[in-house]
Parts: sequence; structure tokens; C-alpha cells
Amino acid sequence: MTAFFSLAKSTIGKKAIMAGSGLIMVGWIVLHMAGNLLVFAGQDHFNAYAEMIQSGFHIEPALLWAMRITLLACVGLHIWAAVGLSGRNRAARPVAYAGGRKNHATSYAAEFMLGAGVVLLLYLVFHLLHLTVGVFSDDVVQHAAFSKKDAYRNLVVGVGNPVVGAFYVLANLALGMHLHHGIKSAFQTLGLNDDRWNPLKDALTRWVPVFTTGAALLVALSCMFGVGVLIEAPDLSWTPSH
Amino acid sequence: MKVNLRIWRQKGPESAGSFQDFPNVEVVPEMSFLEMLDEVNRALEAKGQEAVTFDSDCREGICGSCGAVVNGDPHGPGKANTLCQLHLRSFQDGDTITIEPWRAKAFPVVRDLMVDRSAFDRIIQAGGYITARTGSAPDANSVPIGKERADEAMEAATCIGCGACVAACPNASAMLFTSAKVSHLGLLPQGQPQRFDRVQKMVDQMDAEGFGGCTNHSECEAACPKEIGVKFIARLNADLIKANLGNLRK
Repeated sequence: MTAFFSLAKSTIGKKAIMAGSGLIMVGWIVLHMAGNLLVFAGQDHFNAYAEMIQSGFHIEPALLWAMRITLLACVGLHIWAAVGLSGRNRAARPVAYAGGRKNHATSYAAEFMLGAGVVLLLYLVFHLLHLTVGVFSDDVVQHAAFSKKDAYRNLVVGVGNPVVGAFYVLANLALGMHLHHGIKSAFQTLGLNDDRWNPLKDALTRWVPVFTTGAALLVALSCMFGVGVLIEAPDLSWTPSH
Repeated sequence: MKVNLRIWRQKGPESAGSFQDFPNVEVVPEMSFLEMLDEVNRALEAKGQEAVTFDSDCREGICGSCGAVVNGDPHGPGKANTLCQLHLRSFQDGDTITIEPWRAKAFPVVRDLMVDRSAFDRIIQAGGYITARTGSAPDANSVPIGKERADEAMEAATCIGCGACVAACPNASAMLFTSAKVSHLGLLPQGQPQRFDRVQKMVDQMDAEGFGGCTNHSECEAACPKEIGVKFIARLNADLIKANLGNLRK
């Protein structure tokens, strides 16, 4: 703990905390996206998968909360480091170049890092309210009879709305950009930039965003256009609210 | 050939500056950029006006004294260059050339194009040295060092401390400079006894000077006249993390 606090004092230490928390979230996002692809296996399979997570992987219900608290701590640390560091970075050049400054090496993903981060925070809050808590009890934004027992219907109806679906698409494009520069930066920040680590870094930098954004877009667009995600067993207990 | 110059003029650290236009300055392609500024100053002095202040010393690209942002690029267009080694042949007849100083909180403008880079000196003073018995120089190769490691240490040691990395960085970060100065000692046996103390002290000083942090844009590497790579930043990061988590500081 002493080491953690001494590290947290320096800019590099804050970045290491950002990198570590980021990589934990990357690992989780990859698993989450892989799970989401089960939507194409049909309602029963997807709901069985959702129930497995709800039950704490059929091992211990508290595991679900352990996972949630870990992820929430990562989100908190990630944002805490980002706010501190980006404030410092802006303060480091109080007078801008009057004639402009040219870029030669950076990428759009790197320049959009903070903007994408803000989009992702808004998306995260909406996504949790939308499909985990289920607070929008109408048939426009969310399936009116939101039920933890029917995650499949919640997803297909909820993301099927064109406006909601478009937000999911945009947010996941931002996620792809954020992960592209984030993974590369995490390796660099943790000091893993040499011939031994670079093949892994390059592969993850390229393929993780392709997989996560690709999978998310596939699911979102399928829900929006009703392709491959038919509700096989209509839930007869569902009654329209209006 | 004629060029139009827009040169940043600022009386002192606290005063507001602005561009001064010098239209149709007569130059020849063989002239170095600093020779052109010398000519501008000669003309200004002939008219009894204040000359443009800028830093320069060796004019051979090895001392790190000169530097200004030319058309948005530290040390001007082209790779691996210093301002003194930039020539007017890099420009076209009729070009407008905008010249302004390094912009960073840690590099306050002294006057015109000259900035105060003593923040770099204080980072070196914080730990960029080795403490060893001095005396006569040891025999060459009395401490065997592998060729690859020697080359890497030498690559870091080519840093001339010009400040282009800070000027090019979107965050005005001094990570490339600090990483080069940490690495050219940390890669060699002579630098090992103080290695983890050194990295902590130099990073603390770098932070205290008000430089920004690294967000991995690699603009520093593209601007560095000695083409020092961001791999040294990764090395600096690794050493700082090891120093803290391994409790390796003395």
C-alpha cells in the first residue's frame, strides 16, 4: 500500500495506475463482448449465459458483486488519474503556439483520447441504467416489461430502437479508438516496449479494438434491423403498458 | 530569393508578445536559418531598432543552444535537424515563415525567441550524474560492456538538451529528455548504484518544474534532432515503477 501511494504521487505513477486499471477493464470488455455474441445462439442460450453471470458463475452469488466492485474501482482510479493528468497537461502550456503546431507522429485515436473517455463514461452510465438496472420503463428506450429473467428480450428490444442503437454504435466506435491508443499506451507506460513485448503489443493494439467494436456493432445493428436476433419463444406474460 | 518572415517579439517574461512582420527579406538558398536571422538583426540595428533575441552557440548542430518553432515545427521542417543546420533551400521563394519560441510553462520566454531552459539543468542536478571516485581516467574496456548495450546508452547520450521534445509535445512534457538522461546512465554499470534513486529524483524534479505528462503521441521522437526514441520513455517508466514497487530506493 505504501508503494501504491508513493507511486501515485508522480505523474508516471498515475499513468501506471491508469494503465493497470485500463488493462483490467480491457480484459473484461473482451469477455463481455464475446458473451454478447451469444445473442446469435438464440434466446435460451443467451438467457442461460445471463443467468450464469447473475448467479456468480454458478459458484457464489457474491462473485458477481466482487467483479462489479473491482470494475467500479478500476473505473474510479482510471478517471481519477485522467482528471489529474489532463489538468496538468493543459497547465503545462499556458500560452499556445500563435502560429500553430504541426503533428507528425500522433493518431486520431491518441488525439481523441479524452473526448472518447467522456463519451465512454456517459455510455457506461446509460448502459448500466438501460440493461442492468432497467430504469426506463417504456417501450421506446427499453423493453417495457424489463426482466432480469429475459436478458435477451431486454437487449433485442432495448438496442433495437434506432436512436438507442445509434448511440451504442457511436459509443463502441469511440471505445475502439480509446482501446487502440489505450492498449499501446499501457504497454509503453508499464515499460514494455522492446523486441520481446512489441509483437504482443502490436497484435493487441490492432485486434482487440477490431474484435470489441466489430462484435458490438454486429450485435447493435442486428438488433436495430432485426437480423439474426428473432425472439423465438414469445414471453406470454408480457403485456404492453399502453 | 525572397521570404516573408513573421517573428515573435516579446520584451520579457511578463509582457505580452506579438508577431512582427518582415516582408520580402532577401536571402540565398545556401544561407543557414540563423545567418538569415543575423541579417535581419543587422538591418534592424542599422535602423537603430532592437535586434531579435535568439540563442545560438556552436552552429554545428551539436550544442543544443539554438531552437525555435518554424512553421509549427521545432527546428523547422525536415527530420533530425537543429535550427542552425536548417538552410533556406528548405523553403521556396515567396514563402511566409512563422518563427516563435518554445511554448511551455517550464520554459518561460526570456525575450523574443529565447526561452529559459534551466528547468532541464535542475532535472540533471536532481540526479543526472554518478557519484564515483574521480582521478585518472580508467583504462578503456576495463569494465566490459556489450556492444548492443553500449550502443543503446550512446543513443540516449546523444541528447543535446535543446528542448525540441518539450516544444513538440502536445502536453509540453519533458519525458523524452528525462528518459534519455536517466537511460544513458542506467544502461551502464557505472550508473547502477544510484539507478533507482536517480529515476525517482529526476522524475520528481520534472514534475515539480511544471512539465506535462506523456500521452504517447511520439511527437517528441519525430522532432528530436538526435532521433532519440520513445523506447527510452518506456525504460524510464519501468525503472520508476520498479523503484516504487520493489522499494529499491535508498
